[in-house]
Amino acid sequence: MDIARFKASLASLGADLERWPPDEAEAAVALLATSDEAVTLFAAATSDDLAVFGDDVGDLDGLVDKTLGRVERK
Amino acid sequence: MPGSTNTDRADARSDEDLFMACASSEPGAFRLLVERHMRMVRRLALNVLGDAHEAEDVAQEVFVAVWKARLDWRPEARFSTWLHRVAVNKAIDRRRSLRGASQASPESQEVITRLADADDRAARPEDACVRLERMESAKSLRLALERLPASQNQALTMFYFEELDVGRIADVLDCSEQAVRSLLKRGRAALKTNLQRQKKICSHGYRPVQSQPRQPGGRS
Repeated sequence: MDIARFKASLASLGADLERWPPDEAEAAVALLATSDEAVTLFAAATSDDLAVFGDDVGDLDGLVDKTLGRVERK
Repeated sequence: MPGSTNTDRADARSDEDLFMACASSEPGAFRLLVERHMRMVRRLALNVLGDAHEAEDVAQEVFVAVWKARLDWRPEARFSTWLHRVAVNKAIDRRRSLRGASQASPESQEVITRLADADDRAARPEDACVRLERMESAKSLRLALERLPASQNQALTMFYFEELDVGRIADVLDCSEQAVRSLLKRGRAALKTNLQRQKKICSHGYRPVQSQPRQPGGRS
């Protein structure tokens, strides 16, 4: 997969790779592992998805506290 | 310690300034950064992994790695650009390791995941206000969808609410997969514009769309 194809798939399918055809998702993961440009596009699409569709996970205070506890133990 | 004092939620410092402050051991600076970026980091991991429990564990790993790197970090690039790279790398590593594990023992892995999800749900009962807000937000999203051209509305509804894949949508609409992708692309862009406009118009006393239709496989 090249960057142009990745960008087109992000624009139509969004950043949730679970919703991509499996072979396309695997190719996207391979690209993400090596391309900083792909990560930037992926982050922008993720941010767009959050802005448009939101996030039904609720507040993340518990996860933040858990994370900081883990950091302190390191 | 990274989170030992009360956080000033109105701190307007840039991410880069806050992270430099972490290196100087300023109490509370790291908590602010984690609060600012947790939702995005969690979602990036979720988008790669497709599993909320794993994504939250990876999100924690990401911030542990970031904390460890604070003394060596130089503000040559934006903090968020670097953070997103760390998050994607960690999520890919986890994805690959899970794929290996699930190939070795798919049933036991599934049991572990289900138990972990059940624990998670039990530990965090959904607040009635959150549920109400979710319903309101889903309604707003539905309304925004209805303002789109019918074909875009249909494609987006089938993709996001009915969770059909592109091939199935093409069958239903009797068109090519490429045509479906094009409808989804235009629909997503129009939806984004509409909701941004709605957010501007209703910024006083109205909360814009914040919830998402049910995630594939019950993800949250």
